[in-house]
Amino acid sequence: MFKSILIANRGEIACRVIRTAKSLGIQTIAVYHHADRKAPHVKSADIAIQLFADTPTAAYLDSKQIIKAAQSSSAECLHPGYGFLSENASFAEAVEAAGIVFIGPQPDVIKLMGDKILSRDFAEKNGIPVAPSVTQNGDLKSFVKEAQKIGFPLLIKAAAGGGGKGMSIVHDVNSLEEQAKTAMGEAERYFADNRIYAELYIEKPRHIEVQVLGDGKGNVIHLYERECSIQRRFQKVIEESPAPSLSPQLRDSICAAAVNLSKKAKYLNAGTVEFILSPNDDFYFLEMNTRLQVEHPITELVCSVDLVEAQLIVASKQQIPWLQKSIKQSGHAIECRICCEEPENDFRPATGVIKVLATPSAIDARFDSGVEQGQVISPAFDSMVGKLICHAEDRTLTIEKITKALDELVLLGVSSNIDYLGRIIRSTKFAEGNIHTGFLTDNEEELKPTNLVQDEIACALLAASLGLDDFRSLAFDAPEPHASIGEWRNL
Amino acid sequence: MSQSYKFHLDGKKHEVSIIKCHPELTIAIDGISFAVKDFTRIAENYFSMLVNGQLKKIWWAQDEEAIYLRCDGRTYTLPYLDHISATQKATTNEDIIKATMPGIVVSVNCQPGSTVMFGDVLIVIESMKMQINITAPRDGEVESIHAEINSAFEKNTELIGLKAQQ
Repeated sequence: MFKSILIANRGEIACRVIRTAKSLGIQTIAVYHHADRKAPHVKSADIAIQLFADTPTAAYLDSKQIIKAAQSSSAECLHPGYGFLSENASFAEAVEAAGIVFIGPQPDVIKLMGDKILSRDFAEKNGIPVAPSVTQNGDLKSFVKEAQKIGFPLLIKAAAGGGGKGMSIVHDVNSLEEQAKTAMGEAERYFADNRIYAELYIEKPRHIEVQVLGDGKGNVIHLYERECSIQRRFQKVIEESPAPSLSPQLRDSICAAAVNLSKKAKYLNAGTVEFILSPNDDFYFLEMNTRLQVEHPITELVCSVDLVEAQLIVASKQQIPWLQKSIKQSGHAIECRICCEEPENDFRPATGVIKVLATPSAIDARFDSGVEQGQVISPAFDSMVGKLICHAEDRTLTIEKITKALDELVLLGVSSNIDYLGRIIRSTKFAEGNIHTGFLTDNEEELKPTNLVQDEIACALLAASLGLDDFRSLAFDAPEPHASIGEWRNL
Repeated sequence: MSQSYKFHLDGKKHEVSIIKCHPELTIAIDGISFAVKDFTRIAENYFSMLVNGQLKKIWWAQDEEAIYLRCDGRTYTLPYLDHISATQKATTNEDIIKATMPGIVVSVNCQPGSTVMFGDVLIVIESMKMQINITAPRDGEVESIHAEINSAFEKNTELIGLKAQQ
């Protein structure tokens, strides 16, 4: 096992990696931008090295400085987390060239899976089902012509994309060319690569993904599936495992497809193969993420594993720590992503200072976060500040548990989606398990906050007043004769 | 004891005043009396109280803009009145479109002299990795643009100026 690790990330995922590394007795090295100097990941690491850049994001994307930091601190390996440089093949190459083990797959596998068109072709070639699609190779007119043949609605995506960037749904031929142009523009801006492709848009699709773990020699196991269909703007909000109402046969087929694909790529590392599942149980390869996912904790709880530890084990050339048959799904887990945003205002990101942060008292509610009370939420980073995860014997009990945990989670001073998540989790439709990626838009009205009733208004106003020092001194510290003047005197 | 506190909640103005402190604290909200008993501070920003016999546990915080509460799994924001009037003033002046949050300009879809209609996307900004369309608050003509592609701006920065209406 490694003696030291540099975590090339920030926030909750940096804290998450540090936690496992510490439990394994590995020295932890954090990197940070000035804006994060007081952040939990900096405090919890054994060593913290500052990165210098004009913007915080630029700092965490500065591969040269990060590799230099790893060398100066004699880090044996580097964990990229998710986002930032985690799926950047050149970075992985540069890390390895510097004599540091990159916790991730081989650079050529990152390259292959990072390109939506190449990875789709690779999947198709290896017998994994893919949705009908057309790639744009320069000529927009012929792309539009070919794309029409697939039929509408169509989904346009950036070849180098991810996270919903450069993605749009086209409903008819009239807007196809314009939306294709917009998508190319967005693709160019975000990924410096304007290639796009169009594929058949499956109505009411579910997003099912499979957690895999490979040793780089062709041995791959899966750790079952996660359902990530509750999304807003193509971004996951609530994830769960196992996927509700998935037949055992279908689960096996999807997991087998994920394992096959990863074996063919001689995949090394923990990875995720994402699929779209249609209402009539057809599934199609979507993409493979060659890193640890945000939602990895639900798999950890259901399968009783530590995926960060598993990543370190396979990266240090050891065998996969488990046999496929020893991996069992036990109970049910749900994760809610806690974001600083305004759900009632089109999910607009919110900024400010976290004045109060209180986490649920239940021992088995896991709160993975990278923020603490007093921290500034700046527009420099993603709006996700933490994840609330609960595990129980079955889905109903897990919903009950996470409802309570959400009620107990307090984040004041910056708008958050905590109440919104509570309304989703409490909704009958979520409980019924009939979910698909359009769930939040389809149920937009029902998921709006209910009007405040008289008692709530009264309680809030009393509480607002009594929290104020000067109001309290009037209420409790007033001298006796004066204080008792009311409608009547108690003499 | 005539001092009253004014708050905004749910888009309405409310008045809170202490009626009497003994034998039990009685507070009027918009003229209706409520008995508050057993006010107890549990932690720095956390207290409990009995309102008309019902136990309420409250998380409380404030900053220069508002008071924030969490009670029974619901979060409340009560903006200060002076803050509300300040923002209202800014938004009713429809000639100037200001940034409601810091960000970066992604694209500019108009130029000085452009005729725009209510709802037209004037510029696209990015904040916290999300793209947000800044739309025209009314029909009119663009007079000035203070946004350059890829430039960063702070909250309340003037982004677009519309020609004043006659």
